Amino acid sequence: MKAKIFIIFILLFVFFWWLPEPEEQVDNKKSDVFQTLNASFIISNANIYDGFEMHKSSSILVENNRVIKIAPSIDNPSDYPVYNAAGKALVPGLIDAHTHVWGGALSQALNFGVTTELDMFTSPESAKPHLISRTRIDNTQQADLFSATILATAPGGHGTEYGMEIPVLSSVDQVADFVNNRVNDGADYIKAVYNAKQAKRQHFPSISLEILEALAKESSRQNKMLVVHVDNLISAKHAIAAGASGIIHSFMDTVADDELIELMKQAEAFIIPTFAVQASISGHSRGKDLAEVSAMKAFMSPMQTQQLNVNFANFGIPQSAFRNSQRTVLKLHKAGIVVLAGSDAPNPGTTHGVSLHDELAWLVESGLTPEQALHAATGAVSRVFPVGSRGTLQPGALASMVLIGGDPLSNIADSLNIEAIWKNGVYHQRKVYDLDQRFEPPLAAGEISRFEESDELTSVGAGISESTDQLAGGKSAVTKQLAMRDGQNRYLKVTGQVNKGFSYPWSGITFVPGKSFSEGANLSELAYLVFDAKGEAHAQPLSVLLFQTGSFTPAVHQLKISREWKTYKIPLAEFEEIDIRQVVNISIVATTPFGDFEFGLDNLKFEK
Amino acid sequence: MDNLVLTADDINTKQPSIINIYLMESKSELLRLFRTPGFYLPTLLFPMMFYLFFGVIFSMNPATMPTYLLATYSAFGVIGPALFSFGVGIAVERGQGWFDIKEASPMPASAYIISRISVTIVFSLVVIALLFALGAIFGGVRLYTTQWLLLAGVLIIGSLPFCAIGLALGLYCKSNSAPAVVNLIYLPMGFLSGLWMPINFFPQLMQDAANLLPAYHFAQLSLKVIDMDVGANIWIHLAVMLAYFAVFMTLAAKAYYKKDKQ
Repeated sequence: MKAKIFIIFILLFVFFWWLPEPEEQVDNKKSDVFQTLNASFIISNANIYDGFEMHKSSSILVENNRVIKIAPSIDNPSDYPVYNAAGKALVPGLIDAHTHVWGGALSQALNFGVTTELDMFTSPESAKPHLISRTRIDNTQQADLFSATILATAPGGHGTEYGMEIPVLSSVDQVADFVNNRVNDGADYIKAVYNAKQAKRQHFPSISLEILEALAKESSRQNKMLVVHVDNLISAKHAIAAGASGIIHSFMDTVADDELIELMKQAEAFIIPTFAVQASISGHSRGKDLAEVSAMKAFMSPMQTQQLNVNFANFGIPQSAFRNSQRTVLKLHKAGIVVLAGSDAPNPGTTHGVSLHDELAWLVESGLTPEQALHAATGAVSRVFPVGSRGTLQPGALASMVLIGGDPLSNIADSLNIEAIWKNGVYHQRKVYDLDQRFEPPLAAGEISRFEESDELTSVGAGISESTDQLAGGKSAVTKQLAMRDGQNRYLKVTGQVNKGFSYPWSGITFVPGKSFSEGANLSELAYLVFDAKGEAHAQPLSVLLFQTGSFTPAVHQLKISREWKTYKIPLAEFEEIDIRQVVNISIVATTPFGDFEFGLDNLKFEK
Repeated sequence: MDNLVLTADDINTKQPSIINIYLMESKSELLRLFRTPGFYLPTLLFPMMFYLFFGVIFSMNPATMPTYLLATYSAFGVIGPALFSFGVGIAVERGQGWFDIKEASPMPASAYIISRISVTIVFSLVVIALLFALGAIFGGVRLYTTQWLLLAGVLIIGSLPFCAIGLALGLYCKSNSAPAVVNLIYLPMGFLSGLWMPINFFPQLMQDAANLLPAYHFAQLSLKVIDMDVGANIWIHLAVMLAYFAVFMTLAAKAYYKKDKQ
């Protein structure tokens, strides 16, 4: 009897031991909570700064991606997900009022809670797609872009040194056309670079005062603001007097005087000091320090870390000069002049997103309160630039916002303590870069293939093969073969058809730089992918795609090749959306237009 | 069932200890029940069938429903033996005069109660094991071993107030009316307490009314183990169930002594 009872207990024990347990889950509960906060949700008990004022321990209702209201408490009849943010701060998505945008800038910015960037000089081609996508509510993977497109400068002036061919102004007659072209490019405002003849430092040729005045007049006629890059007091005065809406960069030659203050007050002009870049120019190495802050490291691409670590060429500007810049800003701020936060990323020592937080810190170190600094990167920008309700959490604004652990309104350094980011009401999972990952040893510069013996084998990597969108269910076709380039040398002839089928059609060749298709090659010590190319058509579009291990979204560089053989040098720095240390394949393909294509490739190599 | 047949060993115990009496009485009760398919088949199959239908096959939400309903149908499943073994069992034995014979026998009265409680517990265990196995195999229910054990524990201890209710019913009801009365209480109470489908599918008024029913609090206690209850204080549930237990034990005692005086 007792034995039977004992057996029954054993059986029960076995039974309960057998009953299945839940699989252990990776502990990412925290972000799971935020994942549910999309489009319509409530964040309660947060200290909410709406861009203008603070609402202590309040709730915010977001409905259909827009801010509906901020109130001490909010009913939840629709049963939206609620996040209790007690002790945390919610601020509008930040605006960086001075950047230069290309490549992955806008997604890098968003990764640090910067949801809008005001670009102050980039190519219209780089800007255009983003100027369109910013109007879309589903533009949730990157910051919104506003741009000046090409800046107005003199022949050989500042802005021409970057190797990009840009229209320049040498006489007043050209001004109307220039402004008109910028408006056609989609520019939101006009930017000019000006240095007065009277200024002591004359490091670049500058447009004349007359051209500056004409620019101001023409911009205003086209309903655009004119913002002017200056680096000294006298130029700043000229710019404001000429009718500029604001000046970019504080200046380091001296401290602002009452005359400038009076001019700016009357004109209701603003200043974007760009301390982050000025500090870098004057030898502060805050960028390097920032690159080491552990809270941020993981969220920065290797490219960004590199940008922070770069020094300016020696401008011979002492750190003491930077104090002038700080004093100027404090003086203007005290006189009631609007100060806006801008980093001038990605100039040496600065990078998108991160450096705006540094700019906030500099503003506070220069005498603004943390709240005033935050205002300079949010509400203040929305009142000056035509960005709509971006930078605010006012009713009706798209809910772009940042949840911050801590209290940035008393300690600005907390602004980097980002817990969650929403762009247009959608939770943005921050991109994390694996810092501990091991990479292959970096590839050395050298030839990949001269296409003399083989259309497949390469000196480095696992060879070249044909590649089309048939992989993804598309209908494009391609063949490759060696052909004679001239009497003796051969080249790789690629012919095929781009056909409708897959949403992103492609057809061309692909090169595996690593030892196999699964091992990413480390290109971090290389500077360029170089090849000779010629097209069958005039200005034939060609795309260079770089894929990172484990990702199906390539970084893309587009070029147009001519009918004659020409050498093309593609800077690998352009592919900053992906980690250049694990490139699994490099494709050179035709993507547009639909129909037959033919192109030739030769002397494919990596250069330092 | 062979192993449940009384053996000479069991009977020839010279000095019967109270434990032995309890064991033997429980054993014979069990034996009797296992020879009554009319009792054990419905009590075992009903909850299993319902759970398979509503919790697994026609589940509205395969992620949570099988787990939720496993707790509530298990509660439903253990209430059944408690009410029937006591309510119907005692009423029928009273009608047959078997109850009076037992009273007259030298067996202590407590053995009568204890044996029935043991039977209920054994039956509850069987129901629980079958339902848990169904849930784990077909419903994809995954709980931590501590949760499985705690849930089983809550279910078995939580069936005691229903034993009390059954006892009182068995002593008050006539043998021919007892099955009807018990069914009239068991099925509607199960439904209205949210044992068949989640309580929050009901209109608010019904949800409020469910607070009066012991089965509702029983279900909430079980659901607390798996974090799926409505979130009320655990002490409220315990207090209500304790109150039901006390009230019906008192009623049963009254009925018993009243009968004695006659």
